[in-house]
Amino acid sequence: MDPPEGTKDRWGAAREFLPFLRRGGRLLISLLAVIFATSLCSFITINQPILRVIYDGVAGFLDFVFNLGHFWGDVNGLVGDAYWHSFLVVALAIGLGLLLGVPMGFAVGIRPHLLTSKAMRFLSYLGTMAPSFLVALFIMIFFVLYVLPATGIRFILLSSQSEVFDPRRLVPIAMTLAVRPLAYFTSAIAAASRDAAARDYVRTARSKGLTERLVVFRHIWPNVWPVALDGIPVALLFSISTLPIVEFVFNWPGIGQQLLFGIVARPRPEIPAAAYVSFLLASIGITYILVVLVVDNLRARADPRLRGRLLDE
Amino acid sequence: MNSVATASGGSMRRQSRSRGLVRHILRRPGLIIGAAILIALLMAALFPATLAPRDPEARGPAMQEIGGQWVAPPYPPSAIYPLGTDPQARDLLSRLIHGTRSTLIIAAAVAVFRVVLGTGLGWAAAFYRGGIRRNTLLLASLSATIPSLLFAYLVIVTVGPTRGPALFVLAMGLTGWAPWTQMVYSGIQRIQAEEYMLASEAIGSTRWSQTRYYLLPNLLPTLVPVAASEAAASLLLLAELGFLGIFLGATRQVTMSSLLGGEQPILKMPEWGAMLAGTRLEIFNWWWLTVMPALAFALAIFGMHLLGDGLREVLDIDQRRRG
Repeated sequence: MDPPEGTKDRWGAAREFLPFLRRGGRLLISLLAVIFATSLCSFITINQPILRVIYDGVAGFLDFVFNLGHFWGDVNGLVGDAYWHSFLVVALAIGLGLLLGVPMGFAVGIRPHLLTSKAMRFLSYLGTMAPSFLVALFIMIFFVLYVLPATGIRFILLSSQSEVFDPRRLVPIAMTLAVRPLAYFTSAIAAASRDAAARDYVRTARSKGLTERLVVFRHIWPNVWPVALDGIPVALLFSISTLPIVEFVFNWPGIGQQLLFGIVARPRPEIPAAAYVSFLLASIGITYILVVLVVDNLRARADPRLRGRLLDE
Repeated sequence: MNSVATASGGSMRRQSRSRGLVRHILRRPGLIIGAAILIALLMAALFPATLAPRDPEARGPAMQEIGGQWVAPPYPPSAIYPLGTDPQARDLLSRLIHGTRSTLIIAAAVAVFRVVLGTGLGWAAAFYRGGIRRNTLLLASLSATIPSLLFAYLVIVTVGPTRGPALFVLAMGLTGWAPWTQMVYSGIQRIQAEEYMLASEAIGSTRWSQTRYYLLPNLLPTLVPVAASEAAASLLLLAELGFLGIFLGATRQVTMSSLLGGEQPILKMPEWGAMLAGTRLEIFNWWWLTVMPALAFALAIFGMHLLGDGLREVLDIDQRRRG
């Protein structure tokens, strides 16, 4: 008594998305917990009894949950504006990291003994641990105190009085945010390439007399590029964690800077700080969830073994 | 005769093993550089008065001849002031050396807090099945989603930075412990599957004796290097908070608008994070005010990471050799 053919297919397709939905659900619960913690912390004030703080925090959280639509109507313009400011720089930073890090890491991984490869490995090691604010300071000093006097060209803008958007404002922020993703992609791809190059099937391909170009692009590269996909959520996390400090340094009105402002003061007298901060956090969280789900889906399509494992879960 | 031969054989094996370990350490320049940076920091923390060229609170003259020109404070780096001075003409090198102790103590306390909390919860999750395990792991995965900088900033700003070091340790330590829980939990799970653990259960070992004799010796080589990286992460957080105007020893809360307006906070206690506060807008006028404390942080973070990575490699080799 098997179900009709069409029904089976439909359920099969729905079942494929179950692991992603389950993961999304877990992340959403985490997000709600963060918003709750924010509501709680927003009511902590000096010398206030702890029970009062907890009561106000829970009340604030419930008020926020029940009046979600009302608060959203008040803050959507502010949150949307901050969101697009951050989205632009983070997307640029991750794109820059992918564009430079993947080919560099691949080159380092397939020729690990070259001096340049060793230097690149050391630089990527430094890049993963470099404090973002220090990188931001060096970029500012380099462009303003050295490049500008030497060339007379203003490659970056640190502030703009004009209403017209100038893309040079994005350059220093995206460069600073890109350092850690770039270092991460370089080292992850280098490790994956080194690993793939040492596999038996690569040795077999070489011993068959295939050209080096064919070995590299037909046997090593297809096993390496999915690692770049895996790295996108990690790079996004790196960028999100450094966003407040980088946007503060460059005075960029994105989510990071607005979160810092929102914690200190309300954006408008009628908007509770907890609601504003929660919406900002939620926008980051939802973006992260969506990116993770898309990457998981793409990764499962790229690698049939992973697809099977996710379905088993 | 036989026992003498066995004892001398054992001591020779121990000697050759320690010689091998020394050889491995000497082959790793990263580990040596990291250890050297840590020793230098410890020396500065322990003997600041001996190492600092000046009193950190002593103000220099109102005008000083530097590079053939008479200038007003803050003085740039020169032979007189190797790292320059702050706007009150106080020597930055001396202030950095005197600030090492409080900075390292806070970073170490945060790292210890995270390690103890994370390890304890990981241990509980591994040994107590059911609700405790499920909830502990859920708590860890929730905590991992909270950005440490924002959480610490939120707590310290709302409670007030004047509350002292305990608040800093709590605010910075309440996040960032989740990787420890997950690491300890999976480490214990892995060790529990080993045959010697089954044997220890068969002879009736208690949970504590299992932890003391089997778990700790096997987990420590993994945990010690990560502890160094944890101290580096705490230092980075302290630096970022300092940059945002939140630092230990503030006489009052430094607000964002005052910082954006370029206000220079009065610093009662030399601490590296405090030295970074309010210097963002001075970068093009007096770059040393920002760059010198930032470099001190970067050097310490770099040293801790090098030490952690070097230790990981050496301990890994040592453990592999022990089998």
